[in-house]
Amino acid sequence: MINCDKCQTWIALEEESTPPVIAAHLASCASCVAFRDAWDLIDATLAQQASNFRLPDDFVLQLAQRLEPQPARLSPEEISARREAWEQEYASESSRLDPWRQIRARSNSLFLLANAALLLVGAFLLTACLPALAQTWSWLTAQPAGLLVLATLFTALALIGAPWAAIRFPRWLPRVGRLPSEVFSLVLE
Amino acid sequence: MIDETAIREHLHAGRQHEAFELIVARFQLKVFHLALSFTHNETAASDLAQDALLRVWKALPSYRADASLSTWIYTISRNVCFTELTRARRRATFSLDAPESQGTLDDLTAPDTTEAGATMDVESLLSRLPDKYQRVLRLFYLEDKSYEETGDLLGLPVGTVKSFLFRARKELGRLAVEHSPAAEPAMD
Repeated sequence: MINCDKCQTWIALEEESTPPVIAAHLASCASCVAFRDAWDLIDATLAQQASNFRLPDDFVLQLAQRLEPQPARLSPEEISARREAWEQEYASESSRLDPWRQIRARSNSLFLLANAALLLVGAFLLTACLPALAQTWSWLTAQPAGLLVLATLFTALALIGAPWAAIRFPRWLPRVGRLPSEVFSLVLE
Repeated sequence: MIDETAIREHLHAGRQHEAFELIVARFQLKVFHLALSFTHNETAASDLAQDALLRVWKALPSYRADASLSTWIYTISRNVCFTELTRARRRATFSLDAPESQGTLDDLTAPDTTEAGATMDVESLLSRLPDKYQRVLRLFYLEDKSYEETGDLLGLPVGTVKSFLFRARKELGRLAVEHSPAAEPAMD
């Protein structure tokens, strides 16, 4: 014969088949029958409650609205891991482009930089030579050839160096472009 | 059922939006059930499940492929639920032990189950159990009586789930008999 505690333990374990010893105890114990009935009712109630719960229909919609518009940020490790793949992809895609288009895109930058260099050289020559030019024609003929050689050298350097710099350091161009306005704003301050 | 492999492939290829769509489709109900086991309220659980999935979205870049995706998602969701539970307790300015407050809390957390409420005040009985027993019991029913799923969601071994369930059932049955007007007072 088992006691109530063991019988109720068995009921709580929710075993499928009822051993004869449990059945015999239940037949003679009202409190264990009450326990079993109570538990059956709780079981049915909890199952009913669980089936009543439903995910709201607009759950996904609400979630989408709460999502940030930007994609999740990559961690630094992932960026470094994917960098090689990105560079390969960039190289393969850019090789498909029309080569003339690439040259034209670069020649625009080159043209701008060359103009800037020529302006600088011109300004240098002007400031160097203007006072002397203002004197007399005879001064020009008497002027030593050194200045002319220097000016030619600077011009040649600018003509070679500017295209090289534009190709080698393409990101400098916007900075060079911004430089006058930045200097101007500094002067104003 | 969406396979985790498809989600992993999207993640591996850096397609996080696509991966997240599949994650939501696959895990939304489970995360909702987990939240329900904490809040006992459909609206609050829905909000909490959304919070948890948003946290998953934000953490997607840090997901390591060697970890189980479901375990990772359930861990994040559990943490969100526990955090919310702690906040809710801090927000409560009245004593949980006071009888007049207890009634209010039960009213707030009881779902709309008039049919069930008419037969037995199970919510009131459940509220007398320790939190961990309540959680396991609720989730066990929400997960269609699956020990494994309940254990996965709560991060507990199946043996512990069974043990908690057994104790919860026994205690709940005892409370029900005690509070039943027709119950026999005598016990062997």
